[in-house]
Amino acid sequence: MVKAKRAGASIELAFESAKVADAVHRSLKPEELLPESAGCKVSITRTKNVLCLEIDAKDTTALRAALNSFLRWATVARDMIETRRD
Amino acid sequence: MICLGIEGTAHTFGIGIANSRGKVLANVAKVFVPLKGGIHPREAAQFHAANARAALNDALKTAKIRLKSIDLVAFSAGPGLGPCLRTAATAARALAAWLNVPIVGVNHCIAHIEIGRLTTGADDPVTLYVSGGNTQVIAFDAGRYRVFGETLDIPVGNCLDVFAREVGLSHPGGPNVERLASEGKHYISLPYVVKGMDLSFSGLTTEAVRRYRAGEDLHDLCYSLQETAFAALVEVTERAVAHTEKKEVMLTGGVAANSRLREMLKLMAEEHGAKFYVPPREYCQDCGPMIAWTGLLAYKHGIRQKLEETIVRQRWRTDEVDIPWRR
Repeated sequence: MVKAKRAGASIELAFESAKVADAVHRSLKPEELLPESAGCKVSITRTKNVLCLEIDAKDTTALRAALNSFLRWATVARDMIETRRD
Repeated sequence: MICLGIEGTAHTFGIGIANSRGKVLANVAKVFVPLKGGIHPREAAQFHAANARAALNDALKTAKIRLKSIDLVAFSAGPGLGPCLRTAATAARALAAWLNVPIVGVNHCIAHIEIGRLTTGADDPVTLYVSGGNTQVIAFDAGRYRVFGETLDIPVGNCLDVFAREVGLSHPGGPNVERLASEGKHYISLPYVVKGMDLSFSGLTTEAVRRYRAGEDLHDLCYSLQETAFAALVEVTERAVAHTEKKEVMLTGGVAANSRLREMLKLMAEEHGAKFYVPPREYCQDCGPMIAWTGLLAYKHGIRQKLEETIVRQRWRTDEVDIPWRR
């Protein structure tokens, strides 16, 4: 049997300001606590206006699921804040 | 105080805005309708994320307020589908963080009861809460909403939806089953399962589908399915009314739209000398105002959460929540 290789990703998301990045960061932070069954660990850090997502997954399936989820959440968080312009 | 509530436990992404006097300023809902089959949690979550900004804009326009007028953000923290809950929670956290206002996670089932009490004037009802995700008989006692009876397997709304899907009716199945049931003439005996104070609908669903495939008339089957499922619901609710001696009965949740269930429950309530209440349809369904109003109640009575503590709870039970706003 072939053992699945671990998979990882590091993603940087740049926002228009450090204030927006901070709000998105704080909204995503509680979601770092994924259940063990998700098969991955996620770390979210912020440097000025840039969020960095580090994902370490047990395989590419778990990595893809985590990526999809966190990108969706980052998008919805940004959209909520962007509403101030509409 | 103005609270913005975000509902996102299942197929509805709702934003409601309410003030502390109990006035609903906006009620906007974006409802995910699957192209085929039932609700896939991840697809529903994707729908919520894609529609969140439009829903928020619509709500602010309806309420005629600006984002910075919001004093409190509330969200549905559970029970519900994990991906949907987490999307709604993230949206709520982002708003609370950006506006620097407090945030409160609200129990979805309790929010149904509280918006029902607000909109009907019921004070202390025995509540039959029936939807595609929940089936519970609930009444307040000693600081909490107690579950007097509940489904042991699938909710009654899910029973109707699955049956409808299996016999070729479109989603959501409940209204289609009700329409066909009104033309049913012959009762077909189906499994009636009440165990103690709890209910079961999976065997009923399976048998109804089996009888359809065996050639029974669909109108008669829809009629029989409704009569059997609703009789069980009314029986358990009646027992809760007799036990608690409360003088009010309230019906809420998506299945509360069914006129036959209303008729049966009303009759039972009258026989016990109890007043019968059903909230307006838009507040029986999952909606943002129920979250906003319950968030206001919680906040006004001292419930506080840090942003980092706002974790969703997929299996958050009704009877786990302290209710400081009722004595």
